Amino acid sequence: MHQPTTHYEEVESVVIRFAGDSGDGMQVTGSQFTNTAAIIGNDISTVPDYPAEIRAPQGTLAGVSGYQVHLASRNIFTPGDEPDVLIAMNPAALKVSLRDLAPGGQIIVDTDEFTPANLNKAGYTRSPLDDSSLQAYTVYPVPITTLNRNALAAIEGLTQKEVDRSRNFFALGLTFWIYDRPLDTTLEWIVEKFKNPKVAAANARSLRAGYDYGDTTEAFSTRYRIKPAPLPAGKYRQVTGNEAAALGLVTAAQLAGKPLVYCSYPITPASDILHNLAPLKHFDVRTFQAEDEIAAMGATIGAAFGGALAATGTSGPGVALKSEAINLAVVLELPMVIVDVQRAGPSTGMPTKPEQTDLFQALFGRNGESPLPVVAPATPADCFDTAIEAARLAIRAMTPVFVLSDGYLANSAEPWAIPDPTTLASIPVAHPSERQGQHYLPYARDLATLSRPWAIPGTPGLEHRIGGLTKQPATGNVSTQPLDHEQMIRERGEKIERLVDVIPEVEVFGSPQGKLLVVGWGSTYGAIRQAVSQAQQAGLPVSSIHLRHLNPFPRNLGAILDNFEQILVPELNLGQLAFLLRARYLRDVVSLPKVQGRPFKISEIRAKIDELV
Amino acid sequence: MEATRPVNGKVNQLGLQKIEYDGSKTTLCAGCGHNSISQRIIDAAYELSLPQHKVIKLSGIGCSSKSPAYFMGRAHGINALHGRMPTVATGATVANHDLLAIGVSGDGDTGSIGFSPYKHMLRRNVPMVYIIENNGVYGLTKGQFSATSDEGQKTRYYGTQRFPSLDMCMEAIVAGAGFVARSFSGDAKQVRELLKAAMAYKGTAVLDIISPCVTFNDEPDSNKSFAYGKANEYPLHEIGVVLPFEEIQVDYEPGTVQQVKLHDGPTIQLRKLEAGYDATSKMGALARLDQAREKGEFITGLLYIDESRPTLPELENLVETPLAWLTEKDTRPSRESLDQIMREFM
Ligand SMILES: Cc1ncc(C[n+]2csc(CCOP(=O)(O)OP(=O)(O)O)c2C)c(N)n1
Ligand code: SF4
Ligand SMILES: [Mg+2]
Repeated sequence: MHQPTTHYEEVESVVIRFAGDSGDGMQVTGSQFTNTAAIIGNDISTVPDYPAEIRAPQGTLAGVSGYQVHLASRNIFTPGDEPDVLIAMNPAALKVSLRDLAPGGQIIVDTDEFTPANLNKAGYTRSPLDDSSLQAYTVYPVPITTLNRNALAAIEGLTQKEVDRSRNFFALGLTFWIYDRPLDTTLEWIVEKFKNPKVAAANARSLRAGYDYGDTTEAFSTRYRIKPAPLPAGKYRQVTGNEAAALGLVTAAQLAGKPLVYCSYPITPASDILHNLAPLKHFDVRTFQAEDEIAAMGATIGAAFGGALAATGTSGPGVALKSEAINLAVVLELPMVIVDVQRAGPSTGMPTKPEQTDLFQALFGRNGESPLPVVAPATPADCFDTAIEAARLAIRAMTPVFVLSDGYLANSAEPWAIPDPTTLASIPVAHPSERQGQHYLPYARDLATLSRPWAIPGTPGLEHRIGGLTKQPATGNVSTQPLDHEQMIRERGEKIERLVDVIPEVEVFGSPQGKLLVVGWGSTYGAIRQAVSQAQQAGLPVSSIHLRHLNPFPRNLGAILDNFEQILVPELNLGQLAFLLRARYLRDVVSLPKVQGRPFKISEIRAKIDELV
Repeated sequence: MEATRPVNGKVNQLGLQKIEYDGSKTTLCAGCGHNSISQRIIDAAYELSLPQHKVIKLSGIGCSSKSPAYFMGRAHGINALHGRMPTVATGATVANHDLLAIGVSGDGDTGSIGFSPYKHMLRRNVPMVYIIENNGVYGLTKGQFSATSDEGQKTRYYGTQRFPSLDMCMEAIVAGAGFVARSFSGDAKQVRELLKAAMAYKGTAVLDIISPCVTFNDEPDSNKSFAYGKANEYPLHEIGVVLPFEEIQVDYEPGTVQQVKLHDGPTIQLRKLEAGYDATSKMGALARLDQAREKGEFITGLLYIDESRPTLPELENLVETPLAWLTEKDTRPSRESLDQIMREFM
């Protein structure tokens, strides 16, 4: 047999998008490719793009499901602005993804799917494979469906539908070949996943057939290799933001020596935290699916009063419903974590799309003076650390704490070095066990932290009654005295401010002073970091900081801002952090807002940097 | 959505073809029960010759609540908040009581987050058709249990339901509703006739329609699955709605047919399949529902009807012209009454 000559090319990174109909198994394909990359030791960053409909009509633009993976032999921070390679399983997938594809990118298409009916569903009047519309790209037309059917012809007893359902493994096998990756991880996974041996055999054979096709065809003259990235040693797994948040909450409870009670009402994109926690009963985790957010918040407060580490998770519309009860928690002064996986608003907005528009809601969305700490994770894996940090602050200051994640972090994945639990600092919890004076004083404040004691109901001698009415300091008895009211408000505010004592100072990436400082928070970290690092390499006097703590701000923030001539704040909102910085530090800042339900591209931030320096 | 109907030139009393009651193309899963219900709403509206500009479609949030987009594309619509649609309907029908309000909700939207608005809408007898597309699961958020998932119900992803379910029909009757029906999206004729009756009824008409979610709750052992419904539906009667211009057939054995004349003109005919079931008996309906629940029976039909309670606009003594259309001339008090008010202040 004629062996085509292939040559290998070493590349530093590549961004690949698998796109097809929602029934085509693109999420599985993408995550299998990613798992192998993770095992090889590449740095990876992924993002899925689900259709908004549960199961939109097959072959339509609305039904396209995509999975983008960025893998590299160096540290990377985002799933990539633009795919270099697109695997398009049908015309709709091609059409939807094309606008994102990098100029000169490669496209692998299943030509069998480019039938008149499918072209029509995708809104093509003629096949883009036949005209010049794809001229700017390198197109590899592969009759995947036919090749796959031929490959499976020998397996008996499979329906045509079952045969075609494994097309995605053919595409995956071919992609593995192009990037010179081993098949074994996926082969093992197939055996484990598909209980029906025939289906398992079919998928495995499709995978191999795709790989072998790469070997025999002359279409692909180049194969690519990507070396492992210099990640610190350790045991890694892939983790999405929602998985990491769930694991972080469980870990926080363990570090505090408490059971975790998580009370929630399903809402996109937060539901997965509930789903991840539900099976963890053996880690002392109790989940409660309430009838709505109001009930979920009530149960969270009850769990905190009862002595557990209490947490809830939701998205913006759910926060709106919880607000009344969150305010109660603020004045009861009970510790709990509220995870808000932000989505594009206002109102129902775009449930599956990310935004950072709930910062003001978290800070100010309640009646009265109602301060509480707000923290935000920067990456999917950072959701783990941020959840622990939130619990730590909550318990220290006896207060609800907001975690502002978003839909992008929630579903994106990156490698996560599984931490050694013994290296994590425990979270000190002190429950009073006996009364000091004649009466137990539920609002007697600690002199250093100003927080009140957390007495567990059922402890003899510590019987106490708390509520939402204004209280007398120390005793917590209902009071209408003007000065009692003011003192309690001021003490609660001061208590939150004093958390700066334990909040780490923020670190500057780049020179500690200069022309321009880019300030970010939350999920924009990857894009900002990459843009700033590119600008630095180009010799521009740019630095950046990324805020995990949004209330209170780290102690050194004001001083850092003072060291720069200009401040740029990119945010997925219309300038909420920018507003806070102006108000708090009386510094003018340049806001770079974006509210399209999409994360920043590196290039968008880079362009703004170039404009300013 | 089901195959497009042939345009055969048939028109209703408004001279409209049925296709003119269509909405936009559905984006729900193929085979979803909600799609069939949208079709039946189209059937019923066409047969009743509803003028679409007089119709407001209301919904909450959920797959079910998306469906108003898929019928009566020329009607007005408001897609409200999760669970809060009854409150919006209350305001809308007070402001504009000559509209026909058609609400579409889900079991999560009504039974979980919207349970309290649901009960209070019923107490107040807000004039509207209130459809619960009941699949025992949250479809839109991918398959969690709802308040109507029966104890012991399994779903593919979330284990077994451990709590007893809420029965939306019993809850409706207890709250004072005067039109309470249960049906099955796979029983096209019954759904259509019940919808016609509901649209002609003057107060809140509740239709709890079991509407299988083919993606998250369609295992044959689920009692909200299509296969279960097909095999186990037990209609208490055969229902027909006779419009004022149609002739009422009278050649039934005495005692086998129950007739209810609605104040709007149409007559509901119930040809009994279960002897002795009396749809006008409140306690009878509750007892039968309770028995069905105990025995795991899937009874359908018009469970309870009573037209005697006044509707919210009637109780509010609203004038005949809807508030929304009153002009300044209509609302400005006369000189004399203004003078009298002024005197009272002196
Ligand atoms: C305040 C709020 N909380 C949660 C949600 C998320 N959510 C949307 S639809 C839905 C449940 C829908 O279930 P159901 O009413 O039974 O409709 P189905 O999709 O099953 O037809 C939930 C929890 C939301 N939209 N708003
Ligand atoms: S998920 Fe279920 S309820 Fe939603 S459209 Fe699909 S079948 Fe219908
Ligand atoms: Mg439902």
